[in-house]
Amino acid sequence: MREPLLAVHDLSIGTADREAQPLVSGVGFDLHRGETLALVGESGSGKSLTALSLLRLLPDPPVSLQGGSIRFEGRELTELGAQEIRDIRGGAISMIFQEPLSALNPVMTIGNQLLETVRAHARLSRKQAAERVLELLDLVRMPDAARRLHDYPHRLSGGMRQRVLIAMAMAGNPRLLIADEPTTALDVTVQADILDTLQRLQSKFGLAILLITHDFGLVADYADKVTVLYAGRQIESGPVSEVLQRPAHPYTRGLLGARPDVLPVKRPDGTRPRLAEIPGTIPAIRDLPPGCPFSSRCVEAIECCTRRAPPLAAVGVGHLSACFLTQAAE
Amino acid sequence: MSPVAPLLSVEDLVVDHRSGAHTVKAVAGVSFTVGRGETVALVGESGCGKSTLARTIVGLHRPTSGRIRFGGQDLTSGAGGFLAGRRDPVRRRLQMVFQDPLLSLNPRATVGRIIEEPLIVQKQGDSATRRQRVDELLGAVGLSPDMKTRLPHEFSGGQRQRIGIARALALRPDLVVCDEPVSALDLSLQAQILNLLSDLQERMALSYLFISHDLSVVRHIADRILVMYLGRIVESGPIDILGSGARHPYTQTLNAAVPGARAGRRAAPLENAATSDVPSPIDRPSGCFFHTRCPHRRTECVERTPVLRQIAPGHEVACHLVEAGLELAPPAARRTA
Repeated sequence: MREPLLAVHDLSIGTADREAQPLVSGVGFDLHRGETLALVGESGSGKSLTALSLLRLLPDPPVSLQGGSIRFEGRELTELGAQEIRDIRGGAISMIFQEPLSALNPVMTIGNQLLETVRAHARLSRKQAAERVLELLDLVRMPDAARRLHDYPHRLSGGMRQRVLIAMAMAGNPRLLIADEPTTALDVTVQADILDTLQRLQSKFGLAILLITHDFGLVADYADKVTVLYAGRQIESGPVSEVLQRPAHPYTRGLLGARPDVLPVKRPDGTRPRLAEIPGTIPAIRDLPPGCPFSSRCVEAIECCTRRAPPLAAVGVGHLSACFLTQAAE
Repeated sequence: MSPVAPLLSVEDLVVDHRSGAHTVKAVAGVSFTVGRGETVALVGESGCGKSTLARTIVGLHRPTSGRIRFGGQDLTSGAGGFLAGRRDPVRRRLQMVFQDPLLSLNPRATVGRIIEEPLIVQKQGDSATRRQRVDELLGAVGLSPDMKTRLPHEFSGGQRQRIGIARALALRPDLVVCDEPVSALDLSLQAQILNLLSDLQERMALSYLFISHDLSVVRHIADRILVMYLGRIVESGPIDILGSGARHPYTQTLNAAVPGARAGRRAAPLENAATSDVPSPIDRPSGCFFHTRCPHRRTECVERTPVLRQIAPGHEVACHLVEAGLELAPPAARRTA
């Protein structure tokens, strides 16, 4: 088996308070060239922290990486110096964010922001840089690109802003793109368009994509593999078809059952089926129950679930689940 | 159509927003009805005017022209102007639930006070009966009555939305306008709130005007769908228009763009579908507003505005091509692998 582009192992992220439970604990995954891995979870599940930690972008202090390994193209990122990691950011690994407006400088034209980015990555003449900017905008299918260069970010629609950010992210010829909820702020037709653009870039350049999302619909359409997080703990992972069709962990099953589109619209007698609910709410990390983090909301919890945390174990080919019950059933 | 007068009827409603030299026609001539016990959903993308329409119905915006009738009463005329008084008795029967529960709850008022406030404003009962009603309402939305002394920030997002719902129900309304009530919530909480809204509807014989951009949520909760695009309704009909029954190219595009609805990984992109952004409502296209993004566009679409025409009982479409009897293939079917 060839070595993955990115191999994250036993990642742990916490606050300065060493007594407190870590915010993210035991998260690990592999990502190969040309592959998309979706990191899925609800708010507070630690999916954004995990992504930020890869590029050492955690708000440190108070939040810092406390353990684990991040291997990228054979290098251990956690051991790199500040300058080395800075070279990787926006270079071999780049990132796009949920709210494109807050990632752009409001008092600088799109063209100048792109020029700045392009020239930060390569020594180019003014003319070469300008050509590269248009090439990048073309790559992300920016409508009317030449005219847009003189616009300030507020003049662009949300979809166009996200295209500008993708163009910037592509400026350093990345091998890995981290996309943190890239379409959550966008309308559904624009969302499809942006994700299709990412998919096109992926097949053209063999880009690996780490897609952070809360939307299982996007996972189904765009990802190869999925890792489900709950309260900073990895509770299930595997190939998308496997996890979506045979979800093993009660939390994943609950989430998939809570989607309104999995139900028939109306029963023959005219009444509506009820959505499956997961009782309660996600506990704060400091209120996590002992044992399995999901045990306080799990309708299937048995006695041992509150005594110790179930380890991740195989329940299918490449399919892992951290639940005593699914493991017993296998 | 039922012979009984609808609970809410909106006729040719126009709402303009003025911003400097620009006038934005947020709602550009919209007509529809909501019957008793019915859930009508308004779907569309940002800037289509769905929130303005909702807010105008509950009296938060003044309509530029057109009529809104509610329970047989004309809300758009009358001596006091449009729902001028905050004690207007109509308000008792017409309430709203907002998208962001944190922004719509007073951060310095206790939850008990927040839910009691509509009762105080409308001079309902004495202090003891009002308190009893607050306890009842908290119970009805699945919260414990002893939470009433807490402040909104002490609650999670899902619980805050329950508080917003309890407040909307305090005056025993007939119609509740829900503006994106679950879009700020995580999936597991979204299911809880949608189930709660269904239960309350059954128990209290409520009607909902439900505004959302999430088609799967709408399909679950609604009886009837109105699809809005840049201030106009382009298609209205039963829930199956959010699926195989869609006839307007915009509705078809929306359906095809829903994640999870596509053929799966490596499905070819939505070629020929609307691949550009929604035009600005300040600078709207001529003729059919959708023509700039429509894969089926013809010259007449640029020149003339199509009107809503019934193509089947309870199903109306505003499209020249549909009117001419053409079957328009939805984008999903045009995809090549």
